[in-house]
Order: sequence, then C-alpha cells, then structure tokens
Amino acid sequence: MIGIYNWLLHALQEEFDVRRLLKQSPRGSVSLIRHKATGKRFILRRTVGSAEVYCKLLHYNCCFLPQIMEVAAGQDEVLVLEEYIEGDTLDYLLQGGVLTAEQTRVIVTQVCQALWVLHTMGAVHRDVKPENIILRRQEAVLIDFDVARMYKPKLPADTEVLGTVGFAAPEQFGLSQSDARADIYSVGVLINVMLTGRHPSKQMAGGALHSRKSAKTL
Amino acid sequence: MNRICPHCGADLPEKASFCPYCAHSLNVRVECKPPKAIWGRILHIGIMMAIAAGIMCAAWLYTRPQELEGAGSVQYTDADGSYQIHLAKSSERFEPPKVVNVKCEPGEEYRFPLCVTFYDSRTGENVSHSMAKKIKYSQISFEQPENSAYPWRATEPVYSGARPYAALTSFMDFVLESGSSRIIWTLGMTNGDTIRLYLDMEIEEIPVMHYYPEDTPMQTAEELQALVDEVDRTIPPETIVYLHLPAVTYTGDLTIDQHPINLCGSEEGRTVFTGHIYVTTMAEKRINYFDHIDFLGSRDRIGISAADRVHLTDCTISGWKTGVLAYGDTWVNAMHCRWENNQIGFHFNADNADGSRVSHTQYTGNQFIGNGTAVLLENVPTDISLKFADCRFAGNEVDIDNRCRQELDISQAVFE
Repeated sequence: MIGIYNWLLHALQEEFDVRRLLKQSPRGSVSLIRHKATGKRFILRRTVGSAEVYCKLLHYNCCFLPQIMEVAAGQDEVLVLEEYIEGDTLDYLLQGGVLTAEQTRVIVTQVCQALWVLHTMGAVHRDVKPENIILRRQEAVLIDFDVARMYKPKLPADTEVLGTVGFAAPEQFGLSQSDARADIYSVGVLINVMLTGRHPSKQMAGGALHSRKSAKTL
Repeated sequence: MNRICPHCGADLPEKASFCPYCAHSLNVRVECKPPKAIWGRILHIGIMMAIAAGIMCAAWLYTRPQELEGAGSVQYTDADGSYQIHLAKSSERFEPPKVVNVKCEPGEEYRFPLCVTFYDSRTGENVSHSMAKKIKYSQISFEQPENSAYPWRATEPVYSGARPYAALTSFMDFVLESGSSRIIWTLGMTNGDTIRLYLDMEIEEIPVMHYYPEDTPMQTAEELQALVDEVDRTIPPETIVYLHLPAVTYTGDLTIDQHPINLCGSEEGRTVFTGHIYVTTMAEKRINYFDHIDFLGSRDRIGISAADRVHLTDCTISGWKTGVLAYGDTWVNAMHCRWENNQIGFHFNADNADGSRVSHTQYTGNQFIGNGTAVLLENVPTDISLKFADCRFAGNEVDIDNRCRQELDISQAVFE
C-alpha cells in the first residue's frame, strides 16, 4: 500500500477536485471530492489511524456500510477513498427532536447489521455514535472507521484510549481490550439518546428496566 | 507489475483497487447480508407456515362435504342459501319436537306420516319443492332392539301429493311391543353433504278397560247408558274403554258425551241398536270404534250423529233417514259396512277447518244398496282423496252426491 500511496495521491490531485472540507481534527481530515471526468463524488479520508479495517472492507459490500474504494498507507497517514453517502447524520436529525420507538428500532437494527459485518470480520468499530450514522433514504449507514480496529485476542488492552466519551464502553478507557461488546454498549447508549435526546446518565428511556431502576433507587 | 483497468484501459498499480481515471472499483466484492435473528427467522417461517396451514385448512373445510345432524331440525347452508330442515309429523311440521310421546294400545297397529320439510332461513318460505331436487338419496333407520319381534318400519320416503309442503314423506308403522325408538332420517345431498335428522319416539302403553256382559249389566239401553255414564265418572280420560256388548237389541237412545267408548258387537249373534246414538265426546286424539253392530232404524231418524271421531267396521246401517251424520269438528270413517235402504246413507258435513281431525281416508269394502243417496259429501275437512276401494254401489237413487267437490278415488268401486 505504501507503493500505491504516492500513485494515489498524484491521481487524486490530477483527477479529482476537492469540493469541501468536511472535518478536520488532530487525527486527520475528511473531504468531499469530485471526479472531474465523471462528476462522481467520493469521500477522501486522511487519517493517522489504522488502515486494517478499511483494507478488509475493500473486498466487501454492505448497504449499511460505505463502500471503500481505495486504501493507501503512507509513512505518516493513510488515505482512504470511500463512497460518498448522501444524507443527514443521525446527530443532525436528533437536533430536531427525539425519535419514536419504531424509528429507533428500524435504525438501530440496521446499525446492528452493519456491526455484524464488522464483527464477523473480526473488527470493532469503537466509535458508534449519532455523528457516525448517516441516514441515506431508508438506510442507516455506519461510517468512520478511523478508530476501528481488528480484535486481537492475545492483547490485554487497547494500545490507545479511543472512542467518544459517553458512548465508549468502559473497557475502551484502557482497562481491557475492547471487543464487539464495546460496540453493543455504544448501541445501548445510542438507543437512549435516540429516544430521549440525552445520555442515559442524564435521562433514561422509559421501560421495565427504567422502572426497576427507579424502584431500586427509591 | 501493473494491471490494466478493465473499464478504461488505464495503467494501474498491481495492487490498486480503484481506477482514479474512470472512477470505477476494480475489486470483486462479497455481498454481506447480515442474517436475521434466528428467532425472528423461525418466527417468520412459523407464521408463514401457520398462515399457509390456516388457508389450506379453511379451504379444505369450506370445500369438503358437510355432515350435519340434529334432533327434530337442523340448520343447513349450501352454495345457494341457508335453510331450516324439519323432521316431524305433518301436524307438527312448523315446530318439530325432538321427542314424540305416543300412547299405544296392546294389539293395535299404528301408523303416522313423517315428513321432511325445508324452509328458507331468511324468509321462512317453504322451499321443499326446490330442495327436493338436491336430495340424492334418502334412507330411514331405527335405533331399536335387535331381533325385535315387532320392529319399527318405515315406507320408502317419497314425495306425497297429500302433503305437498313436504319434500319427502314416509309412514312409520309400529305397535306397542315395538317399544321406544329413535328414528334416523338420512339425506344425502347431490353436493356430497350428509344430513341426519333424529326423532325420538317414546311409546307408552295405554291403560285399557274391558267390560263384559258377564260382569257388568248391559242388557238394556238403560243399563248401557248407565254404564257409559259410570265410565265418564270413574275412568281416567286416557284409559281406552271397550264395551263388549251382548247379542241383544237396544231400543233406546245412547249418548256418549265424555269418555270415548268402543262398542264391540257380539260375535255370537248380532248386537242391534234401534235407537239414536249421539257421539259428542270431543276427545282430541281419541276415536270411538263401533264394530260388528247393526244399526236398524226408522225413516224419520238419524242412526248415528257423530260430533266426534267415529270409525265403523263391519256394521250394518239400515233404514234411517240418515244413517250416519258427521258434523261439527269431527271425522268419520267406515269400512266393510253395509248401508241399506237409508234416505241418506253417509252424510259428511263436518267443519273442521284445518283438517287436524282426519284419521283415515280409506272407505274400503262398503256396500251401499238401495239408498236414496248413498253418500252425501257436503263438507269434508281435508284435501286428501277419499278412497272407495272394493265398494259396491247398487240400486241407489244417487250413489255419491259430491257437493263439496271432494277429491275421490272410485276407480276400484263397482257401480251397478
């Protein structure tokens, strides 16, 4: 991939226009680019994170995950060219109000199906949150695998403490290696946020568990 | 080593997955379709199978022939509509009972017609005529003791013009010794449906009293009347009473006005009545039987005035102004009698409107000789044809004066 890094970088400069910068962070950037000849739009990620999950996804298609077109790792960064998912993020939609139980069920089911693909190939997303879910027509697409990694059973802990505060499972903060269950934890937080607009530590969604917890508290 | 883009022919690195020149992906990708949760799949399959099974079951139930059964009546639905089917005696055809109680006398034979009638459930209209065309077969069986010496019997079910309201009619024949039984009438319909109708017959023995001249005074008309009056006072209405008369001539009148009486003439001579006999008992289901008696009168009187049911057998009615007058709510039948030299032999002028009193329409074996009018039919309370089989009409001024245009069968009568 180092071999194609320079080639890809050159080709991107020659054959694509940068339409706009979508995200900039210490870990890299995300840009919307357009192929000059065909007009097709793609996402170009430049990240310091691991490319292994992206490389796995080069050979798979899943309607709940963005199609990864090319991955090229240089010395300091990784270039990822992926499908442009047109739609609003779940985070943006939640600004307009909470979702119904049925809407939540549909979206979370699709997120879980995306996670199933990742987990099946041994990957853990580690950053499941509303900002990383785009609603493309009837489908929820889980994006941004910058912090995703392949689960290695022999390692005692993650080498980096990653994930978003509030959504990341406790084990992501260094005590043990995060596995697929960490994503499940994040999905649980996601559900609560979708139903209440707030983190479960602030407000729990109604239901039997909530009732039991309330009773115990009393 | 390089590779060539299969879309645009561009020269690409060997490990390239994407052609930046034509923006096409180069990799063969595996389509990932996450499985549905097992329980969901199982539930989905189970529900689909249940629905399919339910549809198949409903289709099978809807298309398979029905088997219905009911006591007295049954509700039946076919492709053309819904019907109420009744199994009952003709007099009970509108409200068929499930159990019929019959009182039987020892030694007597009984017969009654049983009918199957169809009514439209929605309109109540009698649709027996049209429904009869849908009956493929009909059979009658009885639940009765095996090897009974006196089994219940039924005639072949047929359409009867005498009972046009019924699709099928069959006559049930039985005696007291036949015992109680369940009549099972099975209809096989042309569409494959089977309908079974039940009717339970409960037989009870009627108590019978016999009075003989050796034991009871009955030598004169007065003694006979006293005996009849005593029967009225002391004998329960349901008890059948036989008066076995001696071979004497009763010159006085006799009135039988409460308890029906069966008068049996002597077999060692003739029992003769020269007086008028009034029968006004009005016992709904009873008949006064007069057997083997000569009624010899005068030309200015009526021999027997019957305002209640009377059956005459082997009697002679002779010399009367009117031999037998049937009037009021009654029915009179005569068989093997000799009607001679009466101005009017048999005068039927009853007014029973619904025909419920009709008991027997066969006037078999009568001889009408030398009468003014042998038979005068002024009002006969039935549409059933009166049959004069083996009757002889000889020397009468008028054989049959059928003023009410009653249907008659005189095909086997002889007119001299």
